[in-house]
Amino acid sequence: MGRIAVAILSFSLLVSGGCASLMSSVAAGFTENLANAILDNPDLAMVRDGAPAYLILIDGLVAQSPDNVNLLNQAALLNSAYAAAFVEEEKRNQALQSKALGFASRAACRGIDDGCELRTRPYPEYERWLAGLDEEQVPILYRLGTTWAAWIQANSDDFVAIAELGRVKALMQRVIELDESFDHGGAHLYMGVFETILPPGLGGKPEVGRNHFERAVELSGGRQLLTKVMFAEQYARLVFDRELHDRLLQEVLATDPVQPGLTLINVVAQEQAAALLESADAYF
Amino acid sequence: MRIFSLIMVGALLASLSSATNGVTFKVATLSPDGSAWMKLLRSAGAEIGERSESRVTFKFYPGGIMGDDKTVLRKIRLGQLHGAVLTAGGLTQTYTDIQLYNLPMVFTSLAELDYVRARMDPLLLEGLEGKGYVSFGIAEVGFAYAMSKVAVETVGEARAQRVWTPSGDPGSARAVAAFGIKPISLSIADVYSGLQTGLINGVAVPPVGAIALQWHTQLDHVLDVPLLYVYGLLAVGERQFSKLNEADQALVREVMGEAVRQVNARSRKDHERAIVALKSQGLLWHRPSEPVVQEWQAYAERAIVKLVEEGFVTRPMYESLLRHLSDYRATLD
Repeated sequence: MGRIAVAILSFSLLVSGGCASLMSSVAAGFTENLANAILDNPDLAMVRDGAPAYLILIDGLVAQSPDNVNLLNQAALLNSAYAAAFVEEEKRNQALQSKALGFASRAACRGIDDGCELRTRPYPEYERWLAGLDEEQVPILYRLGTTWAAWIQANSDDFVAIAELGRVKALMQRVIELDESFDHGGAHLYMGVFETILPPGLGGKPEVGRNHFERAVELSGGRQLLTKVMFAEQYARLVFDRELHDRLLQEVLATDPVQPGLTLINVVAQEQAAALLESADAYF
Repeated sequence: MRIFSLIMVGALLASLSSATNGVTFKVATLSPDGSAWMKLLRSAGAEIGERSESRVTFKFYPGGIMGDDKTVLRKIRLGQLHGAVLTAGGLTQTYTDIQLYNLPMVFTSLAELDYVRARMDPLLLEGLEGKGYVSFGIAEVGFAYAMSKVAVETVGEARAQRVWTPSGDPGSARAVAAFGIKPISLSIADVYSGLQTGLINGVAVPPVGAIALQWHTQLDHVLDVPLLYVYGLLAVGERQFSKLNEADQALVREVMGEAVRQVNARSRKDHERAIVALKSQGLLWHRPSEPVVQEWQAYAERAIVKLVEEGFVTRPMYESLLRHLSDYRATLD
């Protein structure tokens, strides 16, 4: 997809913009395809250079259909993933993650009963709200969780952001209860990371984290390579298990990254795996 | 095979050269890798390696992988490690006065504390050095506050709570007991579930600690009175440090000293943001009336008298701290 295609698509969207409901369903379908086109692209440089045009386009579509939950979800995913993968400048990354979290929060607010103000309501109420959800809400809930986690990561030197981590952890735990296989077991990957942030002496649970990582690998059939990279970086480094560390990363490098919906993330994972192997001597 | 053996020879040469020409400091920390502390320490270590032309190198063991303070100190004595970031409490067996700023309610504001630290930090570090540890500075964590599930303002209300103290830390158990509160001892790792099950319903902890460990999700109220000052130190064993020539010693003191100063300054900002975070997460802050604050202080003063009698800190050091405090308070009048 090049710029001409975007121009044609935007043009056709503009001319068909008369009917709001048609408009929003076209827009949602379009962004879903677009998201897939980006996620299936193995050429990092092309995605890095090309994605901003799509992000601007999607922002425009959201502005036109501010209550379209599907569209908000896609906008959250693309903004958050683009910022996390490509934006190194701290302030820009934070601004994009903020925007993405705004989209995801709005999707939850519009798409789930009583789903507004989740970040500030008292924690016990938040927990009760999570407990009342069912499987149908997992797509919105999970996207809120991943976007929220990326926002915290981008603001990890600010305790106001860190204070919200417990909420994301509770959310991912609930996703696992409702549908653990969603997004190739992605919720397990997040829980694996959360349980291995703190050393055991401070309440971290590396072995619980390990179980989550292993379950995530199992649920994705080993096709989601970022899982093994995080397993190595978070768990194997925390417990100083070099053998496991190197084995996981070698497996990542030896696997074909081209997988439906996972290609882009797998290519990024392979780059990270190579970097981790290179720094292993200094770490261990 | 050939490449393999070349690599082996290379590795062997590298290990020989580091054994004969360089000094490596193996340093343990509780901070997770990737934290601000670790980033600063790693970059300081790299700078020292570069400027000393690899005569001095630092290797870090983050995330508590080497064990708690007690285990780490034992490994330092055995020569398996050479240094650590430790809490002041961890070093009391070695040098009791290092916990001077830890006395309950001795400071009422950060401004008082800064005034005293500027005048007494060098004395404490010197004292520690006399006991075999070279420290590059004290790094703040922050004031600990009482946080609980139910609102607490008076000493009497606090006595009705199930208050946590860290296991293996008789100092803080004694400090809590001084207020007539019966503490419940648990390891830090068990506090979160203790709060969930109701085994405990109150803790005294710096705001950054409450958030980093996510205890704040299980707490609703904060008593707005600073109870005690929490801090840590980066220290290495004198035995290893004395292997360096004079120029390298000065280099390590300069670079590591600067890293600790940066951590210390950053911690102040974190402390302030963490207080904002606790408020934005819905915890209610209660500032008791003046007579109630005085009641807390009266208990604390009696506790301090006892702690000084028991040698928790030495009398001359304590008196010197009081002098600085009254000097500072005089400037406010």
